[in-house]
Amino acid sequence: MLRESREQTGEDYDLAAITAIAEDEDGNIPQGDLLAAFAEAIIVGTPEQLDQTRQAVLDALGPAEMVDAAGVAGFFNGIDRVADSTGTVLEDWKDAGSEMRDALGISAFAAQKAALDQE
Amino acid sequence: MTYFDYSDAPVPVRQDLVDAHNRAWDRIAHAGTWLTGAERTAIAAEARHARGCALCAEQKAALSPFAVTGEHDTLGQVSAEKVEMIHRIVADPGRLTKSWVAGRLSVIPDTDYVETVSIIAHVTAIDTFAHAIGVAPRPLPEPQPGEPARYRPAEARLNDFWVPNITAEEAGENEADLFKGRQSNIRRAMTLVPAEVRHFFDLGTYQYLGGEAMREFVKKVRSITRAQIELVAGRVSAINQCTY
Repeated sequence: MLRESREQTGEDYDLAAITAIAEDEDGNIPQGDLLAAFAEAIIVGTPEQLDQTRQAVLDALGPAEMVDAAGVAGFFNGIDRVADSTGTVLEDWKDAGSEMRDALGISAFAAQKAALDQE
Repeated sequence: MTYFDYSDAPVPVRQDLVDAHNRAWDRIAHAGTWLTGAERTAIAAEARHARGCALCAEQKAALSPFAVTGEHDTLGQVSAEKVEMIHRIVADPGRLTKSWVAGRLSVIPDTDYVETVSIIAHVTAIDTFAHAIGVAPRPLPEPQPGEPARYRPAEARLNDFWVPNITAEEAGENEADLFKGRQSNIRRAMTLVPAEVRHFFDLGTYQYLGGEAMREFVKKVRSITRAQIELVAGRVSAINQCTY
């Protein structure tokens, strides 16, 4: 969807920012670094990291923006479980190609899953 | 019934989102398609409890999650087979495999499995939101009386997914509403239990985007831009190692 957003708007987003760890990488999306850090803290962060990143989003963007980001993070934390427990396959029109899947780390996740299935 | 108002939240929460959470809790409390309200609320409680399971933490940390065995920390309100299902989906969804799902489907009816997945996803989405904005998880709803509808769409079959589902080409008129507009495979995932697709994407309409807004990439429909929305979504999915 981020890829489609890039195509529709003509903005030059860095898709690898999705998996990037560095705090200063925003993928050319305004406040992308803060939002990525907030998302990460929501899912795997300590309470302190979550408090800090939430406050950073509130300061830089505002309360409605923080709530919307929290909603999206929550929904995708749920929908990932639907996809992974039902073996949902990626549509052809969404498939970004093997090079992009490699860059995003998706190929590595899939390979790991395939290896586990052989055990 | 009002389960949520978020009056204790540090920031205002949109009323349409509050309403969506109330609808979701109400649906969990009532009989679904294959499970009673009591069974559904027990699954919701186990899904929440699973986050603190020591065995799950050990499995999550292991290179090979299926090599670590033991007893899950359970509330004891659902079967052992269902406990294993719920805990693995909650704790380590990115490393679930086709053979593991096939094993679950050999002991749990496929309809029951899909309805359970939906309840886990609902509770995860709503509890994660509460965690994110800095409030405690809301109490789960009290189960309500009633009998499951027991509707299985005739068109659902096993195909390239791991559980039976309906393809857009094969959908009957009862499920036509699920296949309007541009097709997305994630909307197919739970079509074995169509009501759960409607319920979960009703929640998604307010926590993420729905209908027309899904196809809007330029005009801002939330307080954050579409690119910001997809960055958050993609980052969460990457952390969860989701291959979809």
